[in-house]
Amino acid sequence: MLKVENLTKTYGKGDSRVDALRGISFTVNDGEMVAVMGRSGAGKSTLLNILGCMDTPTGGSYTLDGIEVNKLSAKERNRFRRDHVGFVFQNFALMGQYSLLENVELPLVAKDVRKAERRRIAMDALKSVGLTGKADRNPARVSGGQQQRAAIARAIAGGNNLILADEPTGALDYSTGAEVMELFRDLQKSGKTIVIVTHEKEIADKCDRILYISDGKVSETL
Amino acid sequence: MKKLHIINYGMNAVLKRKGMLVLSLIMSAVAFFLVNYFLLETDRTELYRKAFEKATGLDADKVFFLDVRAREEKTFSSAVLGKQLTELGLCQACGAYREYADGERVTVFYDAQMVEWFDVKDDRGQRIDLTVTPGQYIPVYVGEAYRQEYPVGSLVTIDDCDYVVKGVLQQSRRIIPDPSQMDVGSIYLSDYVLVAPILSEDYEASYLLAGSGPDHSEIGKTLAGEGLAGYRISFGDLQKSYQKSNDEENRILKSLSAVIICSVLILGFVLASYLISCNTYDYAVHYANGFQVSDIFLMVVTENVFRLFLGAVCGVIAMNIRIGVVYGSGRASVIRDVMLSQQLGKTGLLVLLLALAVGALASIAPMIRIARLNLTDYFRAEE
Repeated sequence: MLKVENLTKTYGKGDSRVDALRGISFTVNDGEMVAVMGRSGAGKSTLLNILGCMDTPTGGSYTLDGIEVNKLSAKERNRFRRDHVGFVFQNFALMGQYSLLENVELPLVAKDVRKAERRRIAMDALKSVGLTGKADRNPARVSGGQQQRAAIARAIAGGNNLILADEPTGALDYSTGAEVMELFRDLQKSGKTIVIVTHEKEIADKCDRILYISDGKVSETL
Repeated sequence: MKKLHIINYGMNAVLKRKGMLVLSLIMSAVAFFLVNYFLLETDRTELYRKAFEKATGLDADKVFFLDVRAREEKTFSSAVLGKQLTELGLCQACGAYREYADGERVTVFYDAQMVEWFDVKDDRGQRIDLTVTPGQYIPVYVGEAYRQEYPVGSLVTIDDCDYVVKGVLQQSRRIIPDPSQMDVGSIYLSDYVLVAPILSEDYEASYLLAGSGPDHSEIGKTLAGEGLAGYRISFGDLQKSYQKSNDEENRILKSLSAVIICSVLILGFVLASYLISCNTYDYAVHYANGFQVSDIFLMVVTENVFRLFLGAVCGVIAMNIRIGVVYGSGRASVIRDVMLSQQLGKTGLLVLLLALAVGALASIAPMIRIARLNLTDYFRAEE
């Protein structure tokens, strides 16, 4: 379970002080798919970075799978991120010089998994997103939707339960975006917890709940 | 994550980025070549000295040139003098030569000891044979440029005397355009000379090359005793004057090489930083997918050092091609050995240290950048 309590994040000091998050609290249950919406600058990215253990809150607490993440050291937090969180980005964040299979292997390389085992897990992940036949393709030689599928395969290849997706359909057309959301739905059914940042209402509507963030606060939960 | 695993992964990453690899290899090779070229060229006296010692087994400190040139009113045989000095135990080896110009064609006369000393070979790789047999034509070897004009077996008239062409000199020997510039370990040869044996009657204008005497002053006394006072005789003075004339050149070259080394370092740093900035995206992807900061730092350092190492290998190859072209494959192999040992020695160590320093320094920049990176914004901005 993901639990955030009275989370604050402040950048700068004095006159240049910016309160990106002003004490937000919410809970995401295991196997739940939640959308985070809000205007540009509302604090969505800041929240996602904190949930992804890539940034630390100024105040409040963030608990994931029973561990209070904000009390971990930087090194422990990095390891925690590696073992618990998978990312899906708007522009896919695939490396052009590697094949889709090698891209999907990346989190397993970070976990020091042996090559043969890595290949097997990565192939399984590609299979689960329908890309078995394109494993050896270069990212540039597949469509945007297929690139995002590969990125999702990479996010789940490490076996992490929390998937954080930042505008995952932002670079895709409507129908491809819908297919990607179907994929997220399938992942949810397999027990993954998914948090999706989006500004598209149609995408958010496909999630179990929507968190609206405005001026650093969760203003509405549906 | 295991460090060796990361190092292996980093090296593989270098090989995967082929375009960047080729660019950095060319840049590194050029940089390494320039550093080597200027470091070695500024120290070439020492280089030839070592090459000479390796080729002859003589102590270069005891080897000197006798620049003995007959004046108008007096003549003497440098070859005979060399023989005397050898018999007196003042030389272990000696050789004499003179040159004769007939228009553009230059003939150099060497004694047998000298060609043996310098291992002068013909185009078949055989050591040239300047033995003179009574009743037969005197042998001559022609440079590559005269291969067509004087085929093997044909007669050549030099200084009103007929010689028979016995062979063609091995190509690409070291060329010394002016014999006065000869230094330890060099011999005056080119594709445009004819090589013939020096004869006992060749008194005038001959130079004597002597080697490994115990004391130069003793030779001076001997020469004085032979009534040779008044001749311009320099024992090792030739080396000294050569060194002196080179000092200024060396000073300039050293300043220049310092500038070039600094420029190469700066360029290397800029190049490495550029390559890294190009790769920041990849490092960010690694970071987002669970790589630890220390893993990425090790990967960046590995990539840079490996790239520079590959560049250095290319530089060594380029350097050797240059040596082969300039010095040829005969005696030059000795020079190449010495140069290589120098490369592997002080030059190689210096360049390796520089490569490591540049690689490590340049690795700091992306780490600062990645540490400050907002990944979600970053991967959005890349769209």
